[in-house]
Amino acid sequence: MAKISGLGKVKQNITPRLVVCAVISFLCISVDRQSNYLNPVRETLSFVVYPIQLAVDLQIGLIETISSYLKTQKTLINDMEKLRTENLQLSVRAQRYSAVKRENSRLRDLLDFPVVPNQRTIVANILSIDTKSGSQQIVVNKGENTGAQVGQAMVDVHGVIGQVIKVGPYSSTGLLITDPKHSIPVELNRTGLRALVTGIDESKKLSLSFVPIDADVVTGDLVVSSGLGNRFPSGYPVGTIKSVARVKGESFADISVEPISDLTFSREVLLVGSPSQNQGAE
Amino acid sequence: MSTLQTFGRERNRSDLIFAVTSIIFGFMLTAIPFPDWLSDLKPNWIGLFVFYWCITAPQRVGVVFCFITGMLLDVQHGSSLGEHALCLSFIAYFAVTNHRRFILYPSIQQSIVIFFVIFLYGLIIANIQRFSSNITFEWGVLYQAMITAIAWPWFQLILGELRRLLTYRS
Repeated sequence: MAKISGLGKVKQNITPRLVVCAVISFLCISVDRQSNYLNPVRETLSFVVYPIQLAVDLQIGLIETISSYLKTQKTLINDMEKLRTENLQLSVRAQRYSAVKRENSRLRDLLDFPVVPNQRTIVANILSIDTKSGSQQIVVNKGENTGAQVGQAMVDVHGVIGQVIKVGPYSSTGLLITDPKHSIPVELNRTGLRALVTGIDESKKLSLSFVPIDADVVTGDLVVSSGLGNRFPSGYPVGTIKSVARVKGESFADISVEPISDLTFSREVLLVGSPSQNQGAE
Repeated sequence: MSTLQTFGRERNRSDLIFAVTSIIFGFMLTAIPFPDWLSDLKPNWIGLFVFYWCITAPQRVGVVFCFITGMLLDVQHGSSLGEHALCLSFIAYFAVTNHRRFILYPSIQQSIVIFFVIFLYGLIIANIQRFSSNITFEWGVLYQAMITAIAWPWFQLILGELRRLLTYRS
């Protein structure tokens, strides 16, 4: 049926090629896991991959624009109404905010507490999310060109989602808080109890580690970042307590936390903070 | 299996160009974000494209081509450099050395082979990524392999027709 030509050459040198490629791959994997020596290679290759990502991103943007044109007048009017009331409420709250901010800084002065006033933020779009196969990472479209740095916190509209671990020329990779390799120092909003939130190998679940078994933790408590370790800015929501299990004889309670932001619905993230002074917050 | 015919040597160059274009298209398909509950049902596009080209144009697309594709895929996924490259190199080796046999299989049997290849690929990737911890199994890998196997007959039909159209025109 099929007429095949020119195959003699293929078979002869394919095995050595495979061996060479496999050896290079193994070397790359082990080197890349332990160090940053391969970052130049990654950056060079990302020059090829980035335009592809960008093209897809543009198309998605286009679809969103078109679907926004197709909204009916009624929904628009409704939205408008809703936004107007919301705006009113928010502006009232904003007036309160400035007063509270002044009060807060005054109190902090009294306490002689270091304040990080206006942290630098970069708005980035999510290019791809890989929340399967062991590691939970996202790629965003801001890199060295806009001043993204390794160690910056990634925050979306609801709260903390992760931190930047690799920065390319035009894109950077973030490790999500749900990754098993990731931990973030937190405190409970209600009681001020400090603990560590670690990702576990199930998506959309976190665990609150090192909480004594008799600690005051209730389902529904808000967990916010504590800012210890100087990597994450303090006060951003991380999640809510989902369940608390106290096993007799254990010294720590088994607490699971539900992340506050659902990545399925967010398209933009903020890269917050300059990680210049941090060391080893992981 | 007329669509899987390997063409004569004069088509080699246009094959390579077409292969590169289709791989780029494959990267775009991979980059399309899927909602979380659907993400297991996303076919392994790069696996499909790479397998197709190794089967039908083994003179042009081989281990090295797939190795480079894998490196680019690693950059796209943000995984450590070399994971996908390793797996795709082995897939290419398997496909190129068995392509004569594969072409003669009926399409159900082809799909079964694709299923096992993609399943193994997914398993290896998932387990390289947790080198240190114990070996685990995720259902997502199985679903993805199934979807990819189901997609294969249509995939190779469409790509074969496209290829024929393009080569006749030029």
